[in-house]
Amino acid sequence: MSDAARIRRFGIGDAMLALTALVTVLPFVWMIAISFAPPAEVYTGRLIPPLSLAAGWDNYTRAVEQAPLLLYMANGAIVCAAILVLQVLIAAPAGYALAKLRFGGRPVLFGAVVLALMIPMQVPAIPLYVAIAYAGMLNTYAALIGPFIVSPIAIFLFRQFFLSYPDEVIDAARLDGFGELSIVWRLMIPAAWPAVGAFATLSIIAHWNDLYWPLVVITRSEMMTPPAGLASFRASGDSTGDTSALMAAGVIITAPLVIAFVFVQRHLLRGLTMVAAK
Amino acid sequence: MTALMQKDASMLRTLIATLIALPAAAAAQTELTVLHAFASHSPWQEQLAARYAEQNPDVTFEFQVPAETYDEALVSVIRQSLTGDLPDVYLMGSHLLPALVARDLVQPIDDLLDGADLVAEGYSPEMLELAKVDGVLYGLPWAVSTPVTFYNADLVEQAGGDPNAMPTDWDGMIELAGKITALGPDMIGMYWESGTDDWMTQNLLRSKGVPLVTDDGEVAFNTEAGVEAIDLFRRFHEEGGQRPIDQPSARQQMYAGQMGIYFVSTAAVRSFDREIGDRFAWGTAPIPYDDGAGVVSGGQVAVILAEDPETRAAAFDYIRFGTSPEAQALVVENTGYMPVNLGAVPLLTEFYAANPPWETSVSQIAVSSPWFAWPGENGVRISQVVVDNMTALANGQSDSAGTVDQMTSEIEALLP
Amino acid sequence: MALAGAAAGPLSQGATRAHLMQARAGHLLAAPAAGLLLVMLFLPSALVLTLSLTDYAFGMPGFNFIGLDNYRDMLTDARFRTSIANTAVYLAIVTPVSVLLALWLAIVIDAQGWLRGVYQTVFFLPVTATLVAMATAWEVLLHPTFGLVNNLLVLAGGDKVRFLSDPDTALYTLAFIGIWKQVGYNVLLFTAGLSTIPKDLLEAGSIDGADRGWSRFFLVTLPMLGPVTVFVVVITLIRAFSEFETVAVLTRGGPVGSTQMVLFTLYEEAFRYFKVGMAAALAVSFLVFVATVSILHARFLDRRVHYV
Repeated sequence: MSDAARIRRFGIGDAMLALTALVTVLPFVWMIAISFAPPAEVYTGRLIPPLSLAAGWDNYTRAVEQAPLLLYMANGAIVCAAILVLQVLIAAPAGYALAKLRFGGRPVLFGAVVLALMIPMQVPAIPLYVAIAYAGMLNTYAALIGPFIVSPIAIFLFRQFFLSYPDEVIDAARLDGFGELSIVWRLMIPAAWPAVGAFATLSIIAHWNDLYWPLVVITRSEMMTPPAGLASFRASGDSTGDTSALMAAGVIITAPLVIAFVFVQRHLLRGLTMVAAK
Repeated sequence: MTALMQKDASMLRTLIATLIALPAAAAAQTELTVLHAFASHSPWQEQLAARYAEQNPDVTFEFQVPAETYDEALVSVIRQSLTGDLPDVYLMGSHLLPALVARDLVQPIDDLLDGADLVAEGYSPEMLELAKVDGVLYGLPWAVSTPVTFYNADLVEQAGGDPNAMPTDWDGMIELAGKITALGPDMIGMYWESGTDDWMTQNLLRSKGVPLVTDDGEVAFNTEAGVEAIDLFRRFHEEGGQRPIDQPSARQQMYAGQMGIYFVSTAAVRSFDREIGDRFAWGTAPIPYDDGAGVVSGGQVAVILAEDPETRAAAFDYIRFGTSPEAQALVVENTGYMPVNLGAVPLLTEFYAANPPWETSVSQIAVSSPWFAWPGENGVRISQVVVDNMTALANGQSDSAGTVDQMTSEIEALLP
Repeated sequence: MALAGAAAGPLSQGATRAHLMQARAGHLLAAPAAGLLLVMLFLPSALVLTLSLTDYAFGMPGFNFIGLDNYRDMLTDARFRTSIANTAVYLAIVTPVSVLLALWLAIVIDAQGWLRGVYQTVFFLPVTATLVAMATAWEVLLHPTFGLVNNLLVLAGGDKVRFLSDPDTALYTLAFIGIWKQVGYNVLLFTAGLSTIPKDLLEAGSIDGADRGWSRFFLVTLPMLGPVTVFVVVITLIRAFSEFETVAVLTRGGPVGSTQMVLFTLYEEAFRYFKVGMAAALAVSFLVFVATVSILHARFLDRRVHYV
């Protein structure tokens, strides 16, 4: 009997699984529900507030009017895309060099990458902030993107992957006149595509949802990324707050990634499995 | 050249002409950046600016995202001082002025005043004190308030009290609140809104006539009288029915008609009016205080952070306007703040007659002392110390004497 | 490279040139990464190390070197000790629960058949969702008077709990939200790990009679999941230690400092109180923790290699 079947035989398995799943989706369900409730009815002591499409329409309109949500999301998209592209552009060649090329200082660089893996970004954050502030670059895309374009994880990941790429194919390519960069982009990356995909997913999720750094370098509303913008919207409004509109804003901000993830989930799993196997 | 190229060329000429003209046009305009706290204030803050802009078309306004609290606004300003991103006009919590002065971020406004006599112009001398550090005037009081007692008249009556004769001492008030709590299971008798800084706590001390600092600048409320005053807060919870819930929840409770008495700045009166409507009868009454004691006034002070003389002059003209009788009348009607310019009072007689809850605060001016600003650069930290300690008291984690001791030692460590 | 020690001659000349070209290519390809690592990571980190020995504060003129005073304050000042203690409690709850719960979930989901994909999506949702939004949703659910959770509690005969405003419960509430967020990530990793267990190993186990009760689980599945489990533990530890958003959005370190956690304290010291020297010391401690855990992890992997 399989392990899972053994657990299930106790009967707890399925029920507990369903219950855990329910608790997991509860805030999502609630957020959507409240976004369809009239603001005055949200806190009334009833188990479930009255929901209606009309109230929902009001809430979503109010949310979009009171906070530039689409702007925040556009900022998020620009920043995440730029970060990802630059991360890959910088990390892939470096990973390849570390894996397949011999050059002076290679072990030093690899050691530096491993060391860098251990430095959380909150450590360099303060001096980076001061430097950016004195350079007058606060509230810019560059400030949001810059610190992340070198990703030790990406470099490490690419190196691990490229290590197992057959040398003969590379040598043959060289004989065919491929330059080293071409080898990276036309041979190695396509072969590691699922891993690249997995990394891309994780990078986008991480940077779309990052609150810490945007909070540090962005003070102007028009430059905020989704989490910072939502936090700002949450803090605004008078004391009663407009919970319904806030939930509506939350739905709008959260939806893109969630929906996107549902589609790429399988690939993500495959990519991660490839990584786990190595 | 082909026709197309000619069209391009003329477009280019127009573009260049416009670009050249643009800086010239921009130079005639002055843009004033304004920062204030509390997004809920945006409507009237921006209304004031709009009024001014109507009369002064060469001035445009840009409002920075409002800070969450007075303390957060100062944090924002200090961060912006590193980028040269400072707002021109900063409407700050008056208790943080020393912290701003300690960092050299604001200049006295004597040069801009040019010998004008503000008191003669109607500015209340008590309120002018709010904008001074060590006797030097750094700005103008912008919006000042005192706390008042908001009450649900229906609940007061049900508990056997008289809404038109609310208790004037704390014992009486706490007793009434206790009775209201007994009216029902989800009923909360009273709520003293501690707030996000030390203003309300200073009010608690002041209502019992306890001084904050000695003449030497040392903490002076570490006395029996001080403990008794702070103990009021404990009694609010244990006898008056206050629950240690957060401010938004408390407001909801009040607006829903499930709370009897609410103590907060008169600035909230417009919100109360709007949220309660006519669902139940409500009103305001003075804060209970001992003989010879009183309340603490506090609020916003307008300071000018701009350094360029032209911008400074424009900014000063704006804050003069904002503190003029007409503008102050507008502020009062839209909020519940008290007029900083006594010239506004005659303009408001009708309004006050129609809206009695607004007037309570004004009746307290005579017994108000200004919000004490802790000297040095650690104003924000000190606020946090008070908030944390009072919250601990509310949650029963410490007793009144312990709270007073703790606050004293922590504050003294943060003073210069 | 087997050409080491080759005799001089046209063959080795060509080989040397290829070496040189390779070396040059290597340097060029790795240069951007190396340069950026230096500028964005190592230099600032070194600066932070230096700053941690000063009393530098933003906007205030001048500063002094004060040696290890900041570190001493960190260990003696009540605020910082609370912060470290809170973080430790948070870690101690979130890590084991997130890991074990995820492991259990991964195994059970693995055998679910057609529902498998659904469950995997469900549990990964919290990872993709913006925490600011979800934390606010939890706040509504956990409202002290009107929240759904409290209403259900009352229905079940209990009392209402002021989850986020009661100093006694706030930290545990945040821990719950932290687990909620982390589990999905770990489930994904465990699932990936599970799928790498060779099927023949599982079958071999059953032939050997290790299919009774939990023995196969402990004999085959768990050991094969060893490295993955350690990896999951490590990243859960680090992510739990780095918890910032729930505190920043929901409690701001309150009530009464009961949810002060290291990263939030760091943020406040640096960007609210402007005590950069102190913040730098906190950052260095943060680094020490993460580095220690990472090194232990590496050591563990090192040892595993010998046995496999």
